[in-house]
Amino acid sequence: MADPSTVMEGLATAGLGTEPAVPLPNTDAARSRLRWNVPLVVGLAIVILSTFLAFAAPWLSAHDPLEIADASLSAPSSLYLLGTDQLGRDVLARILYATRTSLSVACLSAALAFVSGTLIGLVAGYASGLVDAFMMRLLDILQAFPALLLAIALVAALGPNLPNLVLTMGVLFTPRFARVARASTLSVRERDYVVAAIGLGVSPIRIMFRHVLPNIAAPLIIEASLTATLAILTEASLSFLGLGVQPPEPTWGGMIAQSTAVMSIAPWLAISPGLAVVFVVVGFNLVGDGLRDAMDPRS
Amino acid sequence: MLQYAARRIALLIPVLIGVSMVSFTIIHLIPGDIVAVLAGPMVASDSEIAQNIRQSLHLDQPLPVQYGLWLMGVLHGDFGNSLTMGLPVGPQIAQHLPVTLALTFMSLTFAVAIGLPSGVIAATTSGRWPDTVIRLFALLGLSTPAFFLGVAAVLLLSLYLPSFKTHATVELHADLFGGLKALLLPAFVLSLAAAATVTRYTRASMLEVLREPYMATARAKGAGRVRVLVRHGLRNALLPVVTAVGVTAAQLIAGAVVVEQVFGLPGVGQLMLNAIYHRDYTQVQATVLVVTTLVVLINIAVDLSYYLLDPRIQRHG
Repeated sequence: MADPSTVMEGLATAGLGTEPAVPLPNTDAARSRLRWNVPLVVGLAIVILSTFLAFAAPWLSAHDPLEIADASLSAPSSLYLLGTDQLGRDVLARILYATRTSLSVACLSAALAFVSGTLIGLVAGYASGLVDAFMMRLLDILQAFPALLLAIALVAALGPNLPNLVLTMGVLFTPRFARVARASTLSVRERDYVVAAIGLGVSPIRIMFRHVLPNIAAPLIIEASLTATLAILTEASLSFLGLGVQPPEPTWGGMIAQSTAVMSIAPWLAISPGLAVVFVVVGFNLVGDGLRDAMDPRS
Repeated sequence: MLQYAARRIALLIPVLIGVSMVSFTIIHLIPGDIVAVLAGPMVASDSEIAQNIRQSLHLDQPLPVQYGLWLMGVLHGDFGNSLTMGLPVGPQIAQHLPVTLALTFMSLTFAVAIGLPSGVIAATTSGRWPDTVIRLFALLGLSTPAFFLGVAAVLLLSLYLPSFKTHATVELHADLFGGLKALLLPAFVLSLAAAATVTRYTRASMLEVLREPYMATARAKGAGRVRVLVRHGLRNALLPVVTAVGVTAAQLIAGAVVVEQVFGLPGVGQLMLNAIYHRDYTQVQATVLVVTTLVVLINIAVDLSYYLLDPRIQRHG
């Protein structure tokens, strides 16, 4: 007998049965959806391209991002592809180096939140009871704050530099992963294979990491790509307010903030770093959306 | 209803205590000697200014006592004195809050006014071009930082419509109508990301409802297309949208802090950033506490509105 899920998938692609009555087991279906997932492909292309540009910034840029040339506010030309700023620094080189800063802050803080949030969620969901209630109330408190507002205050107090940005944002994004991990753990721990492992006397730590964690990875990865978008936007806002990595290091937000003084005579200064932010964030958003479409049989 | 509301509000107390603890901690995260940082490098640690700072923050007491004294003050409406101006910080916040609240509520209105119809149109044309266009705009809305939109709007208006005043003075107490008018552009700029969120929630929720058998029934009994969509569809799709509004309210208040900076608006964002630039951390602390408490209260209001909107919760809750 043919696998019912592939039959349904075949019907769906043929445009016959638009929606299966029963939610599909998501492995097979997910695989075939991943293959033709336009948002995911485009998103991954953007993310990979911007990561490459960030890594290759020193080789790609014709000028040093901190080099002050005798050509302040020159319009885009063949010598300076995106023009120069007030101090005559090459805007393109600065955007490329800012990509480095932004992506490092975003990836490191998302990774920190991923690890700490997953650990908390895993323990809370598996232990349940008082431990769970206590940990979740602590996260409630952290999530009560508008993230950007608390980030502004914390970074201002700790001092604006890369490690503090990563630490602050990592802590602020932890509840997102903890909630996802906890919810998935709660459903996975009732499965037969977990019950069987408990019956065999496997230690709780081994159950959590060997049996539960691999089975809750998918929603956590989706959360990671969406958190990365949030981290990039937060870093951009913080650096716009002067609370990002400090000058002379280039940041997207900092470049836009500096440009406002001379915007009417040099509009390229504001527009190009802004478009860089939008480009990268669209990429991460598409990856998140694409993964979610692939994992969730209802969409 | 009362019992439900009372229980929700009781659950609020531990959260608010936690929020006050985190806000209190902000000032103690400053690395090194707090007094030296707050007073500036020119002030000797045994001078009168340094002594005053120590005294006003009760730094000579153990930390829990400091927190207790600070919290007692807060509960009596005394948020401490500004470290730079010596004035109480509470009235400062009260003075700046109306602009931020007006900005937030205006953008929330824009977000719903744009997002709700867009979501419904996208869901009913699912898979065809209007849906694609709306989803593309929603993606761009979610991916564009509000401050960049603001800067771009100011730039475009100054280039092509120089008569438009992008940086009008806003004095709500003196000229309410003029002030609100000046907030229109900032509110619109701020609203777009939230509008994208509302669009997405509405679309997803409407798509689910469109599959329900009662939609077919309604159409079969001869109800008109619009009536079916609005009375039978939207009414049932609205609940997750209320969640979206609650989620975006917190984002909008935090976003307002940044957008105020773009348009030079005298809201709590400006107050807080000026305080940061002057290392006036009692002001920062108090602002974070007040704004977060407001957000918590907005979320409770959203929670309670579920209860009013959805009879099913009334039966089970």
